[in-house]
Amino acid sequence: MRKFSAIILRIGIGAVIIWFALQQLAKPSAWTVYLPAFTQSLPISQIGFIYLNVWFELTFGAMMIIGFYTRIVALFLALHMLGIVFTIGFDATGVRDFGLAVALFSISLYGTSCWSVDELFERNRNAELKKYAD
Amino acid sequence: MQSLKIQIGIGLGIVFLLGVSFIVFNFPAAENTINSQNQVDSETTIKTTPVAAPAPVTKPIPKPTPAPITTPIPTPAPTPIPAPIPTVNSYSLSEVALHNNPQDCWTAISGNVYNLTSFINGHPGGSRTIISLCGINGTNAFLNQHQGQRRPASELNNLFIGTLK
Repeated sequence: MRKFSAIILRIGIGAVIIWFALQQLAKPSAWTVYLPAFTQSLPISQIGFIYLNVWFELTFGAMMIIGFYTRIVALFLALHMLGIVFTIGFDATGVRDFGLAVALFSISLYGTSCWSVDELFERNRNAELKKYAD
Repeated sequence: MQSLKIQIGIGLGIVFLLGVSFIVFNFPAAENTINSQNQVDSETTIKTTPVAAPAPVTKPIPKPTPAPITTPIPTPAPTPIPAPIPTVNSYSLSEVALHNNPQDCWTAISGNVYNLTSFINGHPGGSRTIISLCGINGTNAFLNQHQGQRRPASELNNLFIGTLK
């Protein structure tokens, strides 16, 4: 049972990230209020920043769900969530996103779990090393 | 197998960067229509021109006239005063624009005016989204986020203060 805890956490948080990405894709104009102030001085439109965020969250959320480069992906997503917390501030949404960031750091520290692409590569690597050892 | 994993990772990285470039080049800052619309709404102000004080008019002193002989006039029966009809205040967008800070925050949504000041810290999505609506027509922002939702509409009804002229 213990081995399933990491899978549930990884897939659950990946699904949450993808859900938020799809919400932003559906109505990007509703999310521009959450952008930090410095984005207004950059040569990309606010809607463009939302689509950038969508692209980032869809890609990394999918990689989180399938468990590919889990440590790095989880670390990047955790830093992304901390950036959102820093922008939004200490309110209901910020505290919730801080919880997500902490969970992502935990996944990053745990690393490869079972039922993941990383584990598949790890298993093949171990099999090859055992073959050479024999 | 590890080299295959690295190759797949590099391939994914290239695809990701291609997506980023596509978005950056297709959404330049010139197409910033939402912000420009909000800026137009928030920048609506009353332009007043100074009005010169009228010159004092001196009236001639009238000659005293003899007091007329008055006859008693029968007083009519008092007519019943009807109950006052409650009137709804009406505000223009320029008046709403004067209330544009977190300590005094009004917004116009769908033809009505709402005082959001007491709701700023109570909004589940954070105070920033409410503060961004202060002093402007927040119809698009509200409907984009909450169209068809009963609870936000109900919360908004409690903050109603008048209609938009």
